This record gives sequence, C-alpha cells and structure tokens, in this order.
Amino acid sequence: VLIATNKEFTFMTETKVDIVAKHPIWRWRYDPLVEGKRDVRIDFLRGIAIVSMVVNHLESQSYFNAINRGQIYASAAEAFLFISGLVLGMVTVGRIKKSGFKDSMKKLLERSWKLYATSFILMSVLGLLTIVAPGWTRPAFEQAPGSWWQILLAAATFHLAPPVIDILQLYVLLLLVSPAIFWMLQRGLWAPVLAISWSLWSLQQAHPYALSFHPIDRDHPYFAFASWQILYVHGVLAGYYRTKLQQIWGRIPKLPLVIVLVAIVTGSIVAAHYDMQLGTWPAKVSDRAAWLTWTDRSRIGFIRLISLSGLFPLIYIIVDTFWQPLYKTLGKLLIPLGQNSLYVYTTHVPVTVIWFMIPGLVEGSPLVTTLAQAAAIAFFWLLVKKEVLFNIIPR
Amino acid sequence: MCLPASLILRPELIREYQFKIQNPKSKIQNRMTEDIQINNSSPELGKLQQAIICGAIALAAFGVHQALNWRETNTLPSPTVSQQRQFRLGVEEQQLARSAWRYFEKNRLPSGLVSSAANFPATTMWDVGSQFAGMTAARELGLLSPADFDTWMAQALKTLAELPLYRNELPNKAYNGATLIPVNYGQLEKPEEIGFSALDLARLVRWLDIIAARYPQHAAATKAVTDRWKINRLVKDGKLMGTHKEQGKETWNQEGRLGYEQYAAYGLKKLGVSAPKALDPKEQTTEAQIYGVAVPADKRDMHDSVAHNYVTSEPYILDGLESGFKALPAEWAGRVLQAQQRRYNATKQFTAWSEDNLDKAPWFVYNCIFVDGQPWKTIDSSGHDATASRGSSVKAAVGWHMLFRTLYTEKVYKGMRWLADPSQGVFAGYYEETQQPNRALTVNTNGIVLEALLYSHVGRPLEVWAHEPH
Repeated sequence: VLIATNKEFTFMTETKVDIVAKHPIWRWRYDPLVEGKRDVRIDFLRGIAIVSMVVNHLESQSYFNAINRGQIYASAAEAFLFISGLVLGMVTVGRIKKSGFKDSMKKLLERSWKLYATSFILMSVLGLLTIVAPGWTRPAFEQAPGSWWQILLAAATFHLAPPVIDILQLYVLLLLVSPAIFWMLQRGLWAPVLAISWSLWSLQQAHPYALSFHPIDRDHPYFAFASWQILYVHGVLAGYYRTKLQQIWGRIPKLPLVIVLVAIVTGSIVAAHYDMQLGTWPAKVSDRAAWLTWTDRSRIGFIRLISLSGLFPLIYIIVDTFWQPLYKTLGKLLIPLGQNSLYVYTTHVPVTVIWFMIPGLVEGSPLVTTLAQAAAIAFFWLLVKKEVLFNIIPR
Repeated sequence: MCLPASLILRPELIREYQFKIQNPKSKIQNRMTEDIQINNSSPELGKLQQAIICGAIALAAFGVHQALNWRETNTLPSPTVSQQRQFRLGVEEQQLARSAWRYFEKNRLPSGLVSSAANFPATTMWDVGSQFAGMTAARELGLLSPADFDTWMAQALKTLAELPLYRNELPNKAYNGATLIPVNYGQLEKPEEIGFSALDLARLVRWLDIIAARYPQHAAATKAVTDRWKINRLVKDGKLMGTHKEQGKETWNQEGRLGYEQYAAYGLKKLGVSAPKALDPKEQTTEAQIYGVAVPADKRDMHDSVAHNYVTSEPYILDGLESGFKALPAEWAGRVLQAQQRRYNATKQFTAWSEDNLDKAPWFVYNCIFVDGQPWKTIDSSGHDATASRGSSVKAAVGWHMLFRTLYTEKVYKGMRWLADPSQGVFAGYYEETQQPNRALTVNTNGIVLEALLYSHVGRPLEVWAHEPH
C-alpha cells in the first residue's frame, strides 16, 4: 500500500472501505478517529486487569474467583506490568520530543519516588498496626515482622514484601532503571536492552531469587525484579516503537495469527486444567517438577511466557475487533477504573484488609461473596467517579 | 502482491492514510513519523556493533551464572535457626498442612493413638512421638481446636499410661494400636513382647517434654506415662541400650549409630538418663568423602558390629527442628545436606534421602547417603540391597527446607510438596527409577511434615518455643 501511487491507493482504500461497510463486524472495531487521541482500549484492558486483581485479592470462593483463578498460566499482575511498560514507552516518546530527555526522565524518577512513598506508607502503616492489633492486617501480615524500627527500616529498604502491597516495590525499581532504558533506546540500542532483560530473566531461571532482596527469607512468591522486568521492558519497547510495530502488525495475516494465538491459549487452558485444577498432569515427578518451574508465576517461567504471548495479543484482538459492543456494555465500568488503576490499587489495600477481618467472607458462600465482590468493585468505581481524595491518593 | 495486505488493513488506518494523502503536512503524518525522528536524534550504532554489545552482555551473564553456581555448590548450608524468623504459611504450605492433618483424622483409633501406616492399626513409640508432633502443629496452625486437642491428647496420654509394658519395664517396640496389645512388627493379631527401643522411646520423650511445657494442663499426664518406666534399662556404661527378644531369649545391646544415637541420648536426658558416650557425637565418628564433602559417619558398621551405620537426613532434621541442633552439630547437618545437593547437581535427581515406608515390597527401606563403607546405597530392613526402590522423602524435603532455606532445598521442596492426596494425607515420597510417587501414607511422614511447618511458623526450635513463657 505504501508504495502504491495516490490513484491506486485511493482506489484500493475505497474498495476496502466498501468491504468494511458491508461487513457489520468491521463496524464493531475500534476507530481512533472517532474515539479521540487517548487510546481507551488500553484503559479498557487495564480495567480488566484491575478488576481481576481486586477479585483475586478479595479472597473467597466466589464465582468470580472460580473463573479468575487456576484457569490459565497468566495473572492480572502480568498484564499490568506489560501495559505499564507499553503506556510508559508510548508517552515517553512524545514527552522526550516535547520536553527533552532530562525533563522526561525527571518525571519518571518523580513517579518512582511517589510510588516508593506510597509503598513505604502502606507497608509501615500495616506493619505497625500489626504490632498493636495482630491478625488485623491479613493478608499483608499474619504477625508483626519485627519491632517498630525494624518494620520501618525493612519497608524503606525493600526488605519487606507482604502480599497485596509488594508489587509497588517492583514498579519503583522499574521506574528507577527506566532512564537507562530510554537512554539506550534513544541511541537505537534496543537489542542490547533486550539482551540485558533476557540475561536477567535467564539468571532468575537458573538461580531463582539469587539477585533479589529476598534470596532466602521469602515467605511467599513475590515479584522478583529479575524475572518480572521482562514483561515491563518488552512493554516499554513495544510502546517506544509502537508505530513501527503497528506497521508490522498490519502486515501480519490475521487469520493464521489468530489460529496460532487461540492454539496457545487453548493449550494453556487445557494444561492448567489438568495441572492446577485436577493435579493429575504431568504424572512423573521429574516432569511435574519441571513443569511447575516453567509455569512458576514468581519466576515467569518460559511456558508462562509463551502462555502470556498468546493470551495478551488475543485479548487485544478481541477488544479491538468487538470494541463497540464491549464499550457499550463494560466500557463505562472498566475504562474509569483502568484510567485510575493506581488509585484503585491503593484504595483496594484497606478494603482487602477489611475483607479478611469480616468473618465468613474468605470461606463464605459463593453467592454472598460474589455479590460482596461486585459491591466492592462498584465502590471503587464510585470513588473514581466522585474523585474521592484524588488530591491525596496517587493515581 | 499489495492486495492481501490491503485486505487486512484496519479502517482507521485506511482513513488515516487517506487523510495523510489529502493533508501531507497534517499532525497525523507527524505522529506517524515521530519515532523515526526521535531515533534519528542520537547517533545509532551499526548492527555489528549492537551484536557485539549483545554478545558481551550474554558473556557477562554467563560469568554471573558460573559464579552463582560456584557459590551455591561450595557454600556450606547453614540453618536459619539463629535468625529466629517466623515465616508465614503460604497457600501451598497451608494446603500441605491440611493434607498432612487429613492423615491423622482418617487414621485416628478409638484409643486416641494414630495408626503408623494408613489402615494398618499398629504403632510404635517413635510413631507416637510423630503423632504428638502432628497434633501440636495442628493445634497451633489452626487445624485442630484447643478443646479438641485437649480431649484427644488426654485420651492418648491415658492410653500410654495404661499400656502393657515389655516385662513391666518399658513400652514394647510395637503395639496393636486398637487393642493395645504388644505385638511383633506387622503381626497385629498375635500378642508378642519383642523388646524395647531406646531410640523410639527417646522421640516420644522429646515430645512429652514439649507438650508438658507448652500445655501445662497435660504435664501430670505426661509424667504418668514415664513414671512407670524402668529407665535404668536404657543405659549402660554411658551408652544407650535396647533389647531384642527372639524365641523367649532376650539380648540387651548397645543401640544407635551416629545421628539417631545423639538424637536419642539428648531426648532421654530429659528423663534423667545420662548417656555421655552416646551424647558425644565425636565419640565414634569418622568422615566419608562423598562428592568432595566430608560426611560424618559412624565408625561402627556391619563389618565390626551388628548394626548398619546409616547416614540419613532424618535425625539431623528432627534435631534441628526440635532442639536447634543441640544433639548434633549444625555444621554436620549442613554437610549431609550439601552432599545431597551435589548428588542432585550430578544426577538431576531430587535428593532428600531418609528411611521410609514404601507402597510396595520390600515395604521399608533406608536410603543411605552412606552405609557400611558405601555411598548412596538403599537397603531394606534386612540389610539387602533395594536400589530399585530408592528415592527421596517428602518429610526430608520439607524438613531440610524449613531448616535451611537454600536455593537447593527450595527446589526440592517445591518439586515434591505436591506429592499428597488431600483426602488421604501426604505421600512418603517418590521412586527415582520410575519417577512415580511412593504413595505410602504414614504417621511419621505426616507428623514430621507438620512439625517442620510448625517450626517455620513459630520461627524457633520447638523445645525453645515450648519452654518459653507464654
């Protein structure tokens, strides 16, 4: 198309437009000229991820959890990481052009500091509260992880990684190294960036957690930088080179691509069913041990990477292709949540703590807990719409 | 050739291109090309230079990998006991604990005792020790209510206090757990007194001590259990003694080899049994070089005595969990673990070796890191080679990890912790040859698994935890 003459191009595009007009499904697709400058598909995808995370953290036997857990080797956190990198890459390209490299990097570091402060405050408050009221800060803490000064010191130096609030530390670190990534990308060094990212990931596979703040004293699988950075870095690159990648994406025949993606996702769902749901496959101990390693969430094992590389593009294609009906049915809920995901993340922490304190929710009936989770999501949506404490809680 | 590409073009792109052609200076055009402009703003390196940089990065990563390998292989593991760090039970640990506790629920006998093996109502004093370990852990981990624990414990202690003793001296080596009749191993119907075992009694004594200290309401009942015992029969010349009775004839022999011997001597000290020679780990110790590790082993083997000098994980793990390595040096435990890690590096077989029940003949084996002058040997109760049945034990995998928390113990623990049936209990382990689970279900495996999780939960040796004010 790009090498065709204007006349040929006009003819071809007119033909295409006719085709589009005749097929209703094409009318469902996302149209940036209609939707405006901000790509709300990304907000929509982030909305899916944040709702999935909230459902996961509000532990229960709800119907949402039944759908959300153990069905495939993927989680909301992985989607978040990739999308965060993608958005950052896209935004920073423009920002560098507009404000210069230094100012853009300063903004990244300021964001990192903001997240650090948020992480520190959340960990310290919950940690200190555990001293006063043990058992009131589940699932972040079961018991106080030390005296008051040890908690403050550990929270400040990344030596605490309680569930639910641990991912912020990963973001802090990723934003800290982002200026180096953009510095390299400015010089076209995308291959070395990938080489470093894959090297770190490989080291994490061979020597789990050897490069982490918690090499031995981990009490739960947390977001190890060496493995999780791979999602973020690939997101950054995808955002930074978005235009070029869109061109490549446009040239890929979609039907074979969709077939491949569906095959990967189906394979992942079937394997997860026999592995996670039934626990009957792989049967041999050595095979099963290897499979558990390859699908490990904390390590982002390579089977998990394959699963993600099938799932993410497929969801993107689905959202893109069926945008109009999706937008009309779920857009008003998911887009505001996705656009304020850090705000929702921060506010969901106290809600999660309260959830664990209310008897009968964690082990409660599926119907009641499904309704309770729906109410919680509606509550977050309402907070966003009413912009409650927007000037205090980071967004 | 352009047609297929044009067919897959998205409508917005088509409109964008149309707009671009009609407005060549438009913002859209600028947006389409901004990446290229930015990328051109700094000098770019050629493909060859980039490839060289990537190669250097990969090489550096390989160097780090080698350095980490060296460190992991050559650093002697040391236990986390000194850190007194409490670890939260994660989802997997909670599931493991529930599975292990299920064994107790399914195999509880009317006497309050728990069958040594699933659906086989026999028991030994060693296994009663493991039963008490499991019950204590279940109570502390919220799997058994304090009231139910008290009822069950009182019943079990009463049963022990009323057990018919071997020659009215000490508990017999085996009992029918349902009828409480002294029996021979595996022969539940025929009453038979076969002697007593100092090692078995010592494990029970360790747990009676923990229970009496932690739950004072049971202190008198634990004392009543041991008050009847003729403890002078357990020691001679500073060594631990056990008996064996065959065809009415009793032999009274020194009992225990390095590992179990010290574990037992330390436990029996709580009853006032003084066995300084048994307690001293250096008394009979030599070293066997295995994969370059000096593994401590007993000098007394089958060549010059009547007992095998098994070197297995179990006594080290139990001593670590219960006393914090007061009977056996932590460094020796580290060496026993390191030898197993090096075997894994050489064979890629998870190596957490111990004695264990099997779900097929010969039904019980000792997986020995060293025995009778040979490394990595598996023998059955009669001392016959049982290489075909060798494999690792879940109790050892869990125990080593809760104590040491190294990258290797984590690998083995995560690779084996799923070996359980949540409706039956935790399996014994797996067979190396077939890579199939060893589905034997025993109170010892499930008790030790729970004990190890309790250690992790409270963050200190269990006797320390039990004796501190609360």
